[in-house]
Amino acid sequence: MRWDIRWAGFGGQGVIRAGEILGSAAVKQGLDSALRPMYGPEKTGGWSRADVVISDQPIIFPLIVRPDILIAMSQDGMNRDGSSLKKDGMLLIDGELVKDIKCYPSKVYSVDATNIADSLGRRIVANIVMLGAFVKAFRIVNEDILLQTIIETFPKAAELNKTAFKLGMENVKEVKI
Amino acid sequence: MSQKQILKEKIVEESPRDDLIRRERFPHIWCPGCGLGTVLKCYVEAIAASNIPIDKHVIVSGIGCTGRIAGYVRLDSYHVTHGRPIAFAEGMKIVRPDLEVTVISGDGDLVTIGGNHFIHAVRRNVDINVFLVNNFIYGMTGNQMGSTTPLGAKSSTSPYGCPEFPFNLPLLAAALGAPFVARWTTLHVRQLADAMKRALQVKGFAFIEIISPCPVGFGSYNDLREGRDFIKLFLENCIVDHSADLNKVGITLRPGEPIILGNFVDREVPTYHELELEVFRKAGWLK
Amino acid sequence: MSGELKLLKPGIHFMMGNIACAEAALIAGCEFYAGYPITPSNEIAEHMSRRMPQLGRHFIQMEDEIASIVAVCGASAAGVKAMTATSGPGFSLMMETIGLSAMLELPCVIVDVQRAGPSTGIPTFVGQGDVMQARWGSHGDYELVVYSPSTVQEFFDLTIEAFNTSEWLRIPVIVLSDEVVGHMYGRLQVPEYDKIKIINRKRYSGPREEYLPYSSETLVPLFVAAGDGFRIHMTGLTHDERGYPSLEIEDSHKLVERLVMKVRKNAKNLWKYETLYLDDADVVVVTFGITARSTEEAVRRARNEGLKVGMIKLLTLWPFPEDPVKVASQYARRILVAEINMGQLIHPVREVAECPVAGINYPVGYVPPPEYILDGIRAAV
Repeated sequence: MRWDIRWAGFGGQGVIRAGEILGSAAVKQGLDSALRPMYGPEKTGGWSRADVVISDQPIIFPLIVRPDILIAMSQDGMNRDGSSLKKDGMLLIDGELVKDIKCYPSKVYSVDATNIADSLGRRIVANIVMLGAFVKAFRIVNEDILLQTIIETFPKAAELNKTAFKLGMENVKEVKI
Repeated sequence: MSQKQILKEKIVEESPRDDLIRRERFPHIWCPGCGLGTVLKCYVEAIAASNIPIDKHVIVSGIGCTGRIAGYVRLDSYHVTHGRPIAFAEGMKIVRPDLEVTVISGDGDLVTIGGNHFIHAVRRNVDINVFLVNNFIYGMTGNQMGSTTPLGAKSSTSPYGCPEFPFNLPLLAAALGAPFVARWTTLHVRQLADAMKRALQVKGFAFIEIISPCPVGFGSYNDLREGRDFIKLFLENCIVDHSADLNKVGITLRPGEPIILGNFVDREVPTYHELELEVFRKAGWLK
Repeated sequence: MSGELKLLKPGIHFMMGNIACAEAALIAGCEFYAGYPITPSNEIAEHMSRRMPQLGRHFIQMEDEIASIVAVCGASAAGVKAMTATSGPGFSLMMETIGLSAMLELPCVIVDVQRAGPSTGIPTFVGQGDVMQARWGSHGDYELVVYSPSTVQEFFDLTIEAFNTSEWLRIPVIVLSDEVVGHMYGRLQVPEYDKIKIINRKRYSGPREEYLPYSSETLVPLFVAAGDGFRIHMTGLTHDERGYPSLEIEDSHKLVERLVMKVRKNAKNLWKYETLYLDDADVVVVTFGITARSTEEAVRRARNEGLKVGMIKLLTLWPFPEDPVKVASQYARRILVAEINMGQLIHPVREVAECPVAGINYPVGYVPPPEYILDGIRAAV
């Protein structure tokens, strides 16, 4: 089984880092993974995209043409990448930042990742909230291995990230459109 | 005795510095009246007088008349691409700080095509010696003008007189922070050899501009057709002033405007090697 | 922190291609890195700037790519393994000195993370337009080896291989990667160190008076470093066996033939390639680098459609692996060459193929999707 996951947002949201953590966790679990980071030309504040492929077979083509899952952390990301979502694909959004869904997913999940991160005093952990929401909504990777990878990535902020991850898992909900 | 006989009696087959010269490569390719033989002699004198083991000396040169000097010195010697000997020497010195690496090359090589490497090597203060032989022209390749050709001087590519201002090299090197900056001509053999000896001792980038006659090239275009014309020029126009204002040492070769010589700068500046050791400490490699 | 002072641990990693390349260079024994900032190769320099000093090795950012590769040659002349990394515009600047490295027989590794060209092109987008330049970019007759990775793992493995080959043959070796392989993250398995083959240049240790730095007795002369006490001369001028400049036609022939033959005679040992479904293939796609990933997907889909298609993925581009392509062409009806350029690798393929050859070309900037390659295959079958 191969999952094509496109993560869209803007620079500074940690979109690429989230993709790296997800891919690392997948590889640790014995799956294969590939990550293709992309940025807009702006030095700061431009668009940002992480294409993560996870597969239980060796990945031949590592890039994504039409994702199975789109994770939109910004309205701009939604606008930019919404139309690429595969028919019957699934969507995960930051519900506070994405109001206008520009595609036709089979399922939509939402979590107010940025608000939750703000409530923890560190907006920078919104991507970790999103990873918690991701694993709760779609599984694909093992929850414990994912959390362990997060902690290894940020050893000095283990508790904060752990909390962010748990809050993401607890607060994600399926929404109807 | 005629003068000819005296000369004949003085020709010897061996030199006390034969251990440092590749005699099997002689006769060399340089023209009569050229100053490069003197540069070579001063360099081997300086090496012999240095307290550094001879096998630790390395010479790197580039392309041109001066560039051939590496081939005549019996040291580890590298004759590389045009303009690049300084960059080559930097790579070598950085990985082998125990080597005494000297670049001897021409003005066209080191500050025209290779000018960018020159300014950055001085700025970094890599501990190499750069002896730049300035003959005001591209000699070997056909007497073209370059970045040291004085304003108005003629050459094969400035038939109406050079329309550009030349570099003031001591000012350039000093402004970039070089710990040692000197200028001598090949007429000033003792002073040049002494400056080279000092350069080999100096920590960091040591720079000597050596003004050298080129009667066959530069001279033929500028009414200095014999070696002795240059010697006369040097004798009559050179002023030694170690504390000269370097803003005023640019060379014009115009009558009445002197060529100012001296050991202008001799100071301590942290070397690239010392600063790299600090990086090694911060990275945890050194305590 | 202390963990970082060592080499990358054996085991499974998830890593960016450019960083895998840098870590491979450390394992291969690279002691000197010189480079100039250029997208999309920057992660290699950035990683080296952090990691080299942790191991007591040297990183320097030079004033341009010319200085970078020249400094690499200087370090190599001092006896250490050295590398640089760049992309198209910087690679162009390095061409003259690639010839110097070949002429002086100073081993070095040059990584070219290809981007879209020509000229400044699109610095952040992929290209495969440097295939011919990598082989023919410097003037005069010389040969070198060019490897091309298509995965993070291959980027790692081929970087070590590049150091080994350059040390073995005393030649410049190019790792011709691309923006996608450089920037993408993938699974990387680092073998136990004792399983990794490391080659160091052979040094001369006999009597000083008998040493000939450019002896033509063997294809690859024995090396001595600056400071070893041999007082050698190396010159970019055509030289005799002593290393002295020579105008003698015999010396020139001896030298140039040896520079070329040391690669040509070892070509078969240098060829690295992988094949898929060649047994009954009517159509064979020859490809390399990131395009090989797209092609393999297309070939598998074509097989599902019942099309008799195979592929050859080249890991060595130069010397060009003639035999596998030639043999495939004796059985196939058609050979296709897939590459992100307007037709470069197709030329050596045409030179050896005994069947018609056509290109699947994709203008620079993007990786051709498998569907694009598949269309090319369908049209050829």
